[in-house]
Amino acid sequence: MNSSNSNNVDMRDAFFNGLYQVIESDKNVMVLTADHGAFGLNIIKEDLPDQYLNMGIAEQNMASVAAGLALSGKIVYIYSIINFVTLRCLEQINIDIASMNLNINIVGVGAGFTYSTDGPTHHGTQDVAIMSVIPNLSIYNCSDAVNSNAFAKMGYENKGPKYIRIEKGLVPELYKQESLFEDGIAKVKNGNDTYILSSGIMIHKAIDAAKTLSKNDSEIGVLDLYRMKPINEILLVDFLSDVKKLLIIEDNICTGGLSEKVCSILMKNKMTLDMKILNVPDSFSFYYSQKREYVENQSGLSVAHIMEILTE
Amino acid sequence: MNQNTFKSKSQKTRLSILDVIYHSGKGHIGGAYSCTDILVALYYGGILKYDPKNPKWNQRDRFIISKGHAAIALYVILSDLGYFNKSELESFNNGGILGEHPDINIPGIEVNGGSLGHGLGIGSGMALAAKIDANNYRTFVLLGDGECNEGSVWEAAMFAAHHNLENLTAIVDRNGLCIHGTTEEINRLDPLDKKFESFGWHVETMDGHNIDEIVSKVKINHSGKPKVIIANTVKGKGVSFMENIASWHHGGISDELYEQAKTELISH
Repeated sequence: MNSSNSNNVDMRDAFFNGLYQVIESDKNVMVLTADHGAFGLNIIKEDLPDQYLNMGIAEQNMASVAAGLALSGKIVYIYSIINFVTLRCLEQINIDIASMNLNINIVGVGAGFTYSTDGPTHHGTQDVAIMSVIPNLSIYNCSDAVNSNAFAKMGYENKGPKYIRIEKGLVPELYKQESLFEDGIAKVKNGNDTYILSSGIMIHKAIDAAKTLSKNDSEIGVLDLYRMKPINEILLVDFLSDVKKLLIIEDNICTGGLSEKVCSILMKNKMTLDMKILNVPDSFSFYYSQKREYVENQSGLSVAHIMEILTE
Repeated sequence: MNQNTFKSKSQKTRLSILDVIYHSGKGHIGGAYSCTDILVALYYGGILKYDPKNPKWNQRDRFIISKGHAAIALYVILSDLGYFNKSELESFNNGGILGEHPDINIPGIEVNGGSLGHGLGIGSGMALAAKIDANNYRTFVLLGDGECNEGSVWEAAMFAAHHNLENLTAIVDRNGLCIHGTTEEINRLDPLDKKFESFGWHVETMDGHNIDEIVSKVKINHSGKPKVIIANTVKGKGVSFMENIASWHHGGISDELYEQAKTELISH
């Protein structure tokens, strides 16, 4: 990943910096972790210990306890690795949190192949599809340090249950510090009639490919759909109204992810585009490497492959 | 309230449950009857603090019916107390606000329920919040015994003990039956008291049909630990042909059996 323009704040730290400000501002806010740490979370633990609780490795109970706290007036963040804080406690999220529309933020780290040495137990490739079927729940997907920080604060400011996927590592900054993230979708690179639509960390591969292939007379644009539920359908359709060729790329499994959501919206709006899709095949990825790119490449999620598809 | 008044409340509650389920077509009568006396003790025995005119009164005690399928027993009591009109019972499971499982749109209901193994964790969160905010209200959770097969019950049990949630009281409706047989045949629970004890709870047992005993056991907890009371009960209690018969977990009642059940309940 090209990190030459990185703002030097780790995305995960940016999130917890935002959360720190929220927690410091209101003693009614609590953060619960299923024994999963982060540098920024450790600072919250040290400075604001009354609002931090390590639940132990018990995600189902973490979700239920969060519901009990929220029903008693607290605003709660629950945190762990994506699969553990979603799949492991899915029914608790569905019933205890979402069906009662509680002010709880489910924060998962490790979107896509972040945990590239850890195998499919740790790959965050199914969570978007699964969490998408839960009513009342909004889904936010971080793509740089600025929106990571903003989503932590929006978790407090906006009511209702939210699922926030955060990332580790440094990435180039996409957004200005003062950006607002109420629209749910943003044009992060201008283009003519060819666009890449993506979400999360894959945006940066999209931008790398688009920059390489863009010529003065035919810029390839990039859209960041950072709110994956509910999708801002009106703005998405508006953005795509003049687009002739669209590539959707995501590090989610082919069923139920971004591409299916967008296809459904396009069909509903009778929009026919020359469209291609690049996502994770219907399989468990048993590839292991310290280099995330290696594991991503096994699913075809490489800049080279994106460029190849765009030039087909 | 004396023993006779309690008995009369239990009898009226069981008769009303019978009527509601008979007229609605089907319902969870067995598990409703096993916990009827517990609910009567909680609501009429001076244990729970509540205000039917202000169901969301913030100092109320919280009561979670985690074995949500027995909600009909609670609905009968809530309607008797004036949380909602008794006429709502007539449309139970038939287009009104009351269904088989509890939801928070119903006045007096704290938590959406119906799936087992959720109540103790949510109750633990409520009890923790009360401690954090220095509120005096208590949280009570009614668990089914079969429900204690769920791992999430034990995650919550571990958590509540770790945090010394002495303001949390669980009652296990130990009727000994699941849908397809006894709890001991299906997935052994005994010694259930020792299990909770080893998790760090203060444990007591009681006759879940002796209201005076229920009131005295549930009313106070000075142990400094979360408290669980194993209530030994009879599924289908009060109607001879339902008692201890697993198949009365859920179903309809014929005209003939309805009359027989009614006669038995009235004569008790």
